Amino acid sequence: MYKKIIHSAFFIIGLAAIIAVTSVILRPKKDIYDVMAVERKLRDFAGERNDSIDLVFIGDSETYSAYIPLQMYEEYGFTSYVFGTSAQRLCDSYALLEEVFKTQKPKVVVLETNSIFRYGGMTEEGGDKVLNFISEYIPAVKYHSRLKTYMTGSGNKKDALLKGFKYRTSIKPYKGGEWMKASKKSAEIHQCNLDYLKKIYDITKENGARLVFATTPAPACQTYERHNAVAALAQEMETDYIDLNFVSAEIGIDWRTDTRDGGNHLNYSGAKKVSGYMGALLAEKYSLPDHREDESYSSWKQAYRNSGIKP
Amino acid sequence: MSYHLIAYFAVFLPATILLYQIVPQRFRFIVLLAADYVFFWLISGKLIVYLIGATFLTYGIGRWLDSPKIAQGAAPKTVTKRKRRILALGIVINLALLIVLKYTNFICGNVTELFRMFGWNVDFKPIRFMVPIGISFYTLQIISYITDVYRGTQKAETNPAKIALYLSFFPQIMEGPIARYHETADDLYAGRGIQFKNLKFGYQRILWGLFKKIVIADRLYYSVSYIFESYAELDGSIALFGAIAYTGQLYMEFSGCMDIIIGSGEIFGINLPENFRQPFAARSASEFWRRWHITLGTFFKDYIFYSVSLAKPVKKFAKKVKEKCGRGVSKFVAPTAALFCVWICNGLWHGANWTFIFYGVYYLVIIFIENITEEPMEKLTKRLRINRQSRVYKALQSVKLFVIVIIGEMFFRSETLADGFAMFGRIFTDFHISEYFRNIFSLKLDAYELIIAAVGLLIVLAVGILHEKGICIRERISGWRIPARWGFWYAAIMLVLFFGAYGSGYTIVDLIYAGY
Amino acid sequence: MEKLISILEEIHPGVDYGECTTLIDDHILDSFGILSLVSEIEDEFDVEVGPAELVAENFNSAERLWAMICRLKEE
Repeated sequence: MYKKIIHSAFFIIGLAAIIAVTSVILRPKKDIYDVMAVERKLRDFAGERNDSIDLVFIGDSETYSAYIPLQMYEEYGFTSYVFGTSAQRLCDSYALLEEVFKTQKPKVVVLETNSIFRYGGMTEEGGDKVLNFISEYIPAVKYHSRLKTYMTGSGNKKDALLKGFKYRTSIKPYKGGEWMKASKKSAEIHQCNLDYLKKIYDITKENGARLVFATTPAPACQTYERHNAVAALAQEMETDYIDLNFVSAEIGIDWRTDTRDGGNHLNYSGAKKVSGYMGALLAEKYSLPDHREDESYSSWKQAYRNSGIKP
Repeated sequence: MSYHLIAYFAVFLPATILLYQIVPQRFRFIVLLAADYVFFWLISGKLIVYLIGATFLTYGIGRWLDSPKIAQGAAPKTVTKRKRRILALGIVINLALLIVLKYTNFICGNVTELFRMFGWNVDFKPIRFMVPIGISFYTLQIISYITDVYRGTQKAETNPAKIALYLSFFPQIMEGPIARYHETADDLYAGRGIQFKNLKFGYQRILWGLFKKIVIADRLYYSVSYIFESYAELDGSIALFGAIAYTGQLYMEFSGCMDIIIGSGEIFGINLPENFRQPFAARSASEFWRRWHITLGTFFKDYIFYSVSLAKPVKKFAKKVKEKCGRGVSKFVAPTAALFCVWICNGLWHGANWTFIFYGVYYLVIIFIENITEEPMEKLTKRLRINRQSRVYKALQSVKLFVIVIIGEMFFRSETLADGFAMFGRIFTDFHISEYFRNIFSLKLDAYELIIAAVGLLIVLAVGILHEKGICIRERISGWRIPARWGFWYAAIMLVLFFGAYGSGYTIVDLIYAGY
Repeated sequence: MEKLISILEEIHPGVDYGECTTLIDDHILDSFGILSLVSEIEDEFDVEVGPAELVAENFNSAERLWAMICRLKEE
């Protein structure tokens, strides 16, 4: 009997040792919520030339469904990249920006406001509480999927070719009516997110960039209360806030054809319209440079031609 | 709470084991019962009253059936009559509850549709019923127990605690296996101490189940849900891949959970009946069902198939047919009537949706065809001098079965019957294998994820072949020397830990069968 | 007993019914086979076989079957 207990004890100690060692290997250097998504994004981005990006889009899936950098380049001449990852949290946005500023000097950082209303902390709020608890203490559990980073080399070529935009053409109409119903109330922003917003604000300022808030047209996400909250925040930080939900008609969004999931995300058809509108607005408002005649940016011309994006 | 969550196998189960072991033997059943009710409460909360009510009802019906009062001073025929009424009462109450909770909306919805066809406009708003977890499973256990008491093959239980244990054992409650009273009740009550070997083997089996569920099924889930949702825009070849992937997901998930469940029972020294026996090694659809969800199949066989085929009206009808058409035809009457009931019940049991009814009828037709063609096929192969035991013939049978199963699961998974037919149609009208290879890595799973899932399935296949040969792998491994043995288990644990589709970037996938 | 064996032979030929004790366990008799067997037994021996009798214990060998028939005859 004692022999069995001692054996079991040794077995468990051995297991703990293995987990401890793998934990050290797998733990990333900083706090990121969705390491997989962030690392994948950075891998995709690694191919871009240093100091070649004028503008950065950052945020959740709304960004990569709405902004087409190649189209904006073709039409207005400035270069941009979409650092959107699905369900991105502000701690991830911050981690991404830190990396971006190491190699790039963008003039403008456009932050999608949908992320502001997603809980920004490191811990998971929903789901399996016990797993979350254990994840906090055992990095091998939390970061197990990073193994993929080690085992697979390159990133997603398709996404990288489109400068972060994701090409989706399916249609599922939005059938509701007007969603921006006037209200004086203001949506609540989690303290943790306010802290990260401050950090994001500081890092963009330090690197000589301008932080701009923007909300893509999304009846299923945006509300007037959220608008009020972000507008107040923008005023406080003295940044601009572009809420496209008020001008979706002007942009020409047709909710019968331009969304892929009933008003949550735009599809390619909607993205083309938004990119046209935003491209003009951003180029003018922040006097972004025009690289279309610049020989050193010929790869962008090439990328546009290969992308299959048509005016 | 759910079996594949770390909260279950790393917290709830060890806590129960510990408490069970430190309590004196005669009180251990109380620990188990408390664990059962806590587990149930964690999932369904107050709905536990349904379970407790059903327990008392079952106990009462059992005692009533066995009470000497019924038999006193009455002719055997009237006794049987009385007993039959009591049994009917018990079954009707239980089934009625199940039907009201699970099928009201389906029935009312279809009736209003029917009314509309006649031009009557009835307004029906679906009612949201709170359905207690596992009701589809424990209701069948109740029926099997009271029927056995009625048939006299089981003595009525005089201890209500045993009935409570039998109906609520926590590893079983969510998705079976559907056990018979004599299979588990005594062991559950006995409170025997936990054996080191059982503990070890139990957890080894749980690990194997987690591998199937978390590494394979929860990974395939992404492709499957994407394809079934947007099949209309995808090529037929991808729809076919979706059906194959779903079959893999369902098998891995359900049999994986069974491994966790049976492993959990093993720890307490309770031998739960097996639910899977390498189903894809079967050579016909009826054999498949003797290897897939076995306990449901045997339940239907023992309580519906035989009951219907030996029922007096059916026998009478068969006799009449015999007089008119001879034995060749009449011998099919009783089994066919019984099969019809079995497969309609099988379909409906899975849920209130036409897809499930279709699924039942689908297998009914296939098994019926299998039965009537068996003899002619045997003669034909004999005349053509085809060896039915040859490898080629067996392989062809396996392929045929695989196709049958995949088509069935395609309808089983579809949202509506129309979706099922549309998806099935795409395989024939819009099939381009090149489209599949062009999109292979953009079906929500990239090359890395697909390779893990595929390697996982190959491991399961290899283990299945060993099991078919009657090799007990756990026994073999426990005979190895320590370095090899520990190395193996370390590797296995790390495999699940590293390659499991859990945590950030993945979602928790609820148990499919717990929804039935 | 001989009658029973000949019935069995007719339903599923090629088995040594005198020796075999795993008719059910080895799936020699499937549920369809059991049903035809039951209807033959009922006709031949004038007994009534209820669903409760349809267990492996009663059907695993010719001997067990014969015992069941004798028991049912007495009842």
